[in-house]
Amino acid sequence: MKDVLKVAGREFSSRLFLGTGKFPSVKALHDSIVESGVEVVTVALRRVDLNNPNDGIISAIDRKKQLLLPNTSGARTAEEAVRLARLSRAAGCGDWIKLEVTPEPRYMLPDGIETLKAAEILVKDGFIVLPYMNADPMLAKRLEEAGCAMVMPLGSPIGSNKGLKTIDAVKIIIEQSNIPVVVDAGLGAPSDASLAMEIGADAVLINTAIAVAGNPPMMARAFADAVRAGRMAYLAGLGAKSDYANASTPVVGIPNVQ
Amino acid sequence: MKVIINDKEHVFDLKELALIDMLNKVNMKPTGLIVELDGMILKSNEFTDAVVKDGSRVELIRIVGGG
Repeated sequence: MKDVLKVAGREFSSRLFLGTGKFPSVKALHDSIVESGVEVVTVALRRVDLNNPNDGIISAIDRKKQLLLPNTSGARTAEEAVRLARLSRAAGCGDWIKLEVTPEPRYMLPDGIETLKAAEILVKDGFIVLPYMNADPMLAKRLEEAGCAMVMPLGSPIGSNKGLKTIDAVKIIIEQSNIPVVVDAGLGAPSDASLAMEIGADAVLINTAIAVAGNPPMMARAFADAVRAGRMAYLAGLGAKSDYANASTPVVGIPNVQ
Repeated sequence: MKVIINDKEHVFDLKELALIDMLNKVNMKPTGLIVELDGMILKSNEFTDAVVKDGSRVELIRIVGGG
């Protein structure tokens, strides 16, 4: 069965998106991309350090196979996010932008008001906008109405590895959304990614959990497998939950034991 | 002339300088580089014609790993 993710007219067969920060080496990142078969990789824009200008990250990415998805990380306001998006497009990174506005550094939670403001500007400007957001079903609807191509609610704070703590709100977002829902941030183990897919998320984005693993390429593969398993379980239809036992073995015809 | 590159002052012994030559002087290769000159984002095919003058502000940005 063909099961593709469609975003803004583009098809993806992998439902795992990979963030490229914090990898121990360019090779570890490259091997993780290859092992997991991801088709979306996020990157960031930063000022060059003139004393240490080398960052060969781009060499790990094959733009024929992977969509380069620049983010606006570091933006604290809508205005800063819009500027980063325009810089990225001018630099040849394309029209896709992962919109992030995170003004406070401790929890790095997204500012929904500034995110919506930036999304409205960027959509008008012709960008394909993928906003990182808190798991807020109303905000998800507003971002969808603004013309975003997907919503990316968080599972828990960025890099926290705490898992899908927002599950109930994410379920509501999935139920109400007419655009893809991609769980981003905080998923720490393949089982977290599988859970997100089992409840019907269209994809997940993982960075820290893979980048900081003892063996990042092996962990990337584990996440890819978990995402496939979770997706398949969702499509297959999970059985209902019950507070009581429901015998799986027939309860009639049990031989008498004398 | 004085040029501000990423908020730091750099002094060059010339009145104006082609952007490409300035990058060379600060040991930067243009490949993969994003340049904003006096608030204008340059396309990579505009690098060759761009000229840096006294008081110019240059932002040099590149793609790094991120989630």
